[in-house]
Amino acid sequence: MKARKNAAAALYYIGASLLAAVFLLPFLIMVFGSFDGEQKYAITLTNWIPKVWSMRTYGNVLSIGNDMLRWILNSMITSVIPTLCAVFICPLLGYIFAKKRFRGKNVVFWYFMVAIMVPSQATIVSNYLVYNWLGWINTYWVFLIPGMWTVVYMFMMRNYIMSLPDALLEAARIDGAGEWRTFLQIVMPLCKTALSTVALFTFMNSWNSFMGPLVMTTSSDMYTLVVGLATLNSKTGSFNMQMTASVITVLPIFIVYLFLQRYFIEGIVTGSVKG
Amino acid sequence: MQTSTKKKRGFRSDHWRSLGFIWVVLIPILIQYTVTTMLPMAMSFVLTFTDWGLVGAKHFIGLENWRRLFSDPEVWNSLKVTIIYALYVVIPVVVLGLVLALIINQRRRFVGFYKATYFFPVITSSIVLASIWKWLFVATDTGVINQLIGFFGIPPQFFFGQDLALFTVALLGIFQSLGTSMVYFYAGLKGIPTELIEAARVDGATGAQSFFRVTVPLLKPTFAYVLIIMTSGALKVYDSIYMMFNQTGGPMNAANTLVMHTWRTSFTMMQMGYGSTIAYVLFFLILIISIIQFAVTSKDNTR
Repeated sequence: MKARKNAAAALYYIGASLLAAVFLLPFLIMVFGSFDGEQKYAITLTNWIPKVWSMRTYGNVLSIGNDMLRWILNSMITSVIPTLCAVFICPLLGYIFAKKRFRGKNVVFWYFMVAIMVPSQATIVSNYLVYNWLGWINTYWVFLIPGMWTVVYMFMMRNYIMSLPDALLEAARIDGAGEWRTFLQIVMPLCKTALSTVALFTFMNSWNSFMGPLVMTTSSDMYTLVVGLATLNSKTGSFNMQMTASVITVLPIFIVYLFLQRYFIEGIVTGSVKG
Repeated sequence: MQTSTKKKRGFRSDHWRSLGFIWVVLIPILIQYTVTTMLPMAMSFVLTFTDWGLVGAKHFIGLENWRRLFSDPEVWNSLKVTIIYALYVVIPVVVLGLVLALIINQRRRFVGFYKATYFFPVITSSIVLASIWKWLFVATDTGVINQLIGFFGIPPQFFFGQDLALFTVALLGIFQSLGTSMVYFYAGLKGIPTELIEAARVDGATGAQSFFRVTVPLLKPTFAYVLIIMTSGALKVYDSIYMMFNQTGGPMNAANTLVMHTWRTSFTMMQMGYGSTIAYVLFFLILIISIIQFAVTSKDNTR
């Protein structure tokens, strides 16, 4: 019996670790490639581990003749600001739809919910034309205004706030708290976990977003990191350069993931990742 | 008497203040939403009746785009490619996702590490993954993947050629979606009372029997949900194809999915009217999925 148990454990660890190796190998190849001191134009099973380690490629990618630093800045701006907005606007709308009664509530709510049914890829052409008329192409507005909040997370916050007891809000009202104070001091603190999900996923979705930024920007200094990476890879044939740019693109998400892994994994069940 | 009128007035002003709060929030958001979402949506429908390009005259051409759509072999091809891609991705993701969920649903050491590792591709940009893919799947016999399959006696493959192009993209799709499916099944497994499994054991069921007779049937709603989420995600694939085939739909359009075809028609060939019409094929596919999803979830709720 004990031998069988040990065999089962061994089998489990071998299987699980082999799978983990499959999942890690592409990333290891990427990281090792970025630190390789030797320029490579092809990789094989035997040459992907660097013989000479060096940070030189990082220097190259971040300096000469490309806009990497600008792309990093653009990605930061177009991810952090929408995240801050979403963390405020999604619960605010959620609160209104969960706890307030007013004429036209259902109409407005379903007007917003239409967006869930329509894939953003399907309206990309007319989105481009509208933003073009507004003069938003190649500006930050094209990221910031449409990305301010997402219907999916508004809906998630509404469902969450609906489960909060009315008595709490009633008590705040009797104590003479105004609408904004009730929202900021009673509702917001109770939503902390849900808000962390909204923040993480808004940040990640904006950081990784590709088709929107690709279509809405045409000049290199307005590219986000992901779009920049795609153009860089079609320009350079060097394995090291491409992997270094990839590492830089993944790094911020990876750092957040290291610390908040649990919220990512739990958040996926509460609100789906990709819209 | 006095107090009651006071109360009433208090209530009234409360009511107005509340309404003020609501509309101060809603009006700017409604404007933002209308301009960034509803207006483009309405416009995309109007566009289908025009020969809109970025420059030049625009004309209403009636149903011309729609007529062209139904007789355009490229569109039918991209519909076929999209559906095959979805099949390639969704079936393995559902099956292997459950396997991964079973792995991380154990009380053993390193489970946290395994979970974090299997999940990581989900949050990685598809552009990054595709740029790694391009190096791993090179067609030469010294390419990493060709060397690996060589150990099993499989001859080197031309992964970005016409026959395998879609398969290679699908491998990336699977790699990137497995974590999501795993997490859903993991949540599903956690929801199964352990007493049920134990009861089956006491009744003399083997591990495999209790898995297939008790666990799998109880996971039915999870299966349905993962299937729907993964299908609607797979139908929208674009990023990885753009990256792997240098802004084209692959050799002989072997990986020319609907979104890719929409993008190329609108932004490479600058036929924005016709591009919008092609986008409606995707829209209807997603609509069908949404209706199925609605039917499935409302059935779950009534049970």
